[in-house]
Amino acid sequence: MSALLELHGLEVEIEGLPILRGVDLEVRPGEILGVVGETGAGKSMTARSILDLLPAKARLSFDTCTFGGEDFIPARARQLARGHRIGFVPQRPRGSLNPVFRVGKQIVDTLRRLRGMTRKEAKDEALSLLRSVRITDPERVYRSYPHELSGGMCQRVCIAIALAGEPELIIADEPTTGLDVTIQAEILKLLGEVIAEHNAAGMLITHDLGVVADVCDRVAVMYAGRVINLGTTVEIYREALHPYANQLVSIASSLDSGGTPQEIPGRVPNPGDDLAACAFAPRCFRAEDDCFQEEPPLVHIEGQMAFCHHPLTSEVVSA
Amino acid sequence: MGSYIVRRLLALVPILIGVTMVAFLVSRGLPGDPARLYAGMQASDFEVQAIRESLGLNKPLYHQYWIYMQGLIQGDLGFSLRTGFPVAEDIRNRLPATVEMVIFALAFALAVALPLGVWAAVRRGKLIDRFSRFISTLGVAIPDFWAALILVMIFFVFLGWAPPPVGRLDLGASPPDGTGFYLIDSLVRGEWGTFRDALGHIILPMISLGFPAIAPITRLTRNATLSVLQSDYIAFGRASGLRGAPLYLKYVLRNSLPGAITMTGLISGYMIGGAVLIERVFSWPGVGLYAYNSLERTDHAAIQGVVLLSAITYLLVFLAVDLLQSIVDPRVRLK
Repeated sequence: MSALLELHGLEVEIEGLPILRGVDLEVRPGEILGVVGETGAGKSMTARSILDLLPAKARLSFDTCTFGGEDFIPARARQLARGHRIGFVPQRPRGSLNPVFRVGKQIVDTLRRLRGMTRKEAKDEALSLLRSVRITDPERVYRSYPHELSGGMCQRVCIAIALAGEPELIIADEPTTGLDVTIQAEILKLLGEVIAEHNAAGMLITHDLGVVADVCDRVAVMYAGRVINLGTTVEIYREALHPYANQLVSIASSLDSGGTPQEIPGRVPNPGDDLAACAFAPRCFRAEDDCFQEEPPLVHIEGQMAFCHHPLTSEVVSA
Repeated sequence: MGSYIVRRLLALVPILIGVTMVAFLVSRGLPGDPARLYAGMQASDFEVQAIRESLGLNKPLYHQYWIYMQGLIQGDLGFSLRTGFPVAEDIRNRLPATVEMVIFALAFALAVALPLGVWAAVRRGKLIDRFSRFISTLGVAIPDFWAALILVMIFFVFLGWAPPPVGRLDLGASPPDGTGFYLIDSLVRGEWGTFRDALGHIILPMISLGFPAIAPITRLTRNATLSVLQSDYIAFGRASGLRGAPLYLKYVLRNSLPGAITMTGLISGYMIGGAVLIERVFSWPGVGLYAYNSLERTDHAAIQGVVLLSAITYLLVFLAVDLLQSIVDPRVRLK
């Protein structure tokens, strides 16, 4: 199956500091790809690169980038996709809605902009979008200002706006940040459902592996500006190839079961730090000399791929 | 909102009583003897004394104030010794000229400052940003009356584009009937010649009075816009396909407005003061020129009337600013 979004060798520099160092990933039609990693791994930057929403000082380059078969390297192509072909669900939903306009107007404006609807059509469609994100009293929410709504309600509205252009892909950047834990689960479930209902694909960025397990089909694990491990959720949870991914999973599951997680020693490198050939080597319990000297090879095992000299598996087949 | 406005207006009463006291005392403290000025240089001391008594100026201050306040409650601002007319009538005749000029100056300042502020913020650090800073510095550094003189010199004396800086219409032209707002009156009555005449006369005063206001409004708009541009809602708007002119003019400017409104309120208060000198330069027959001439002649009732008028205008402008604020930003609650 050919990928909906495919990108290779995505590099981003901000003021000379490398933020992304060659990100490779693909999103397949109809799937939800989870992108996980610690703060600073480059998850949000990856999403913002796809929409050409990087800070002004950032420099970016791709080896390849295609969306639905179309070349996505020109910034213009990525800008034009915003809203139309790619919907975006933000962090901090309350701050992401414009405080001076009613919710209804914000959805209507989006519909008129993206789908050229008349005011009347847009109003009907806005209400049906609000219903589709499971808002039980769409008329009231339509008339409300963002500050009159809860965070969870605001996020439903943001999801409705993301759906307004009938996009093929929805990118959600830490969509549950700042929401109550009970609401978080609802919002994620909703995201998964609406993505399926609208026949779209999803890219869910989060630092919470538990979140991934619930809604994602596949997972990309990022570390220091690269995707170091990619595989189906099941495989990553059962036996992640990369020691980093493996340890993240065991931390997540021991937190789930109420145990004390085994910490990963050391800290995440900052952009501009001197990195070993494998950026994770200094913190890795399996690291040997070659990890510091040579670029880790790409290994494919079953559905998984990882950049690692010493992947966690009995039957290593070096690529 | 209605009850809020009533409460705010009631709260103005004690402030205005305080203003009348200060205006009363200050005008009495001015050098110059109104009775002497009224009587003329040739008058004998005896005549001056008679006039002083007839004007009640020999009575103790508190008694004079009491008489003044009794009149004020009935809407009587007293008589101007200089013009011989009731002050209220003098002000009513001159107010439209000043209001017309201030509104034009404000509109001019906003028309330049709002787009310039947004544009400078969007292109932060670029040429247009530096240009806006240059204009701002110029506006702060150049006093308005001096700018007025320079403008008259360039556009009237040298280039001959502007009409002579005397009044609101060409000499001998008769003003249109109506409200006293010449531009509106002539427009309503379809008197195009008069309209063009009045428009030509208002341009230089408008620029002179408006120019210093560009600086603070531009700076404030620029700073407000910078924080709006970094906001989550603009980032989300962009991610949802919002861009170009609608993004900046409809959303960014709209969100930057609250700060600009407060500043514009402050400035329009300042303009009422600034109008005094500008009206002097352009012989503009408004309240400012009236105040200037009244001051020269120690015309107590007229001075008090003008001070009271500016205080009321100032306070009403602030009320209007608060009301506008609550309309522009739904999070603002009127309490």
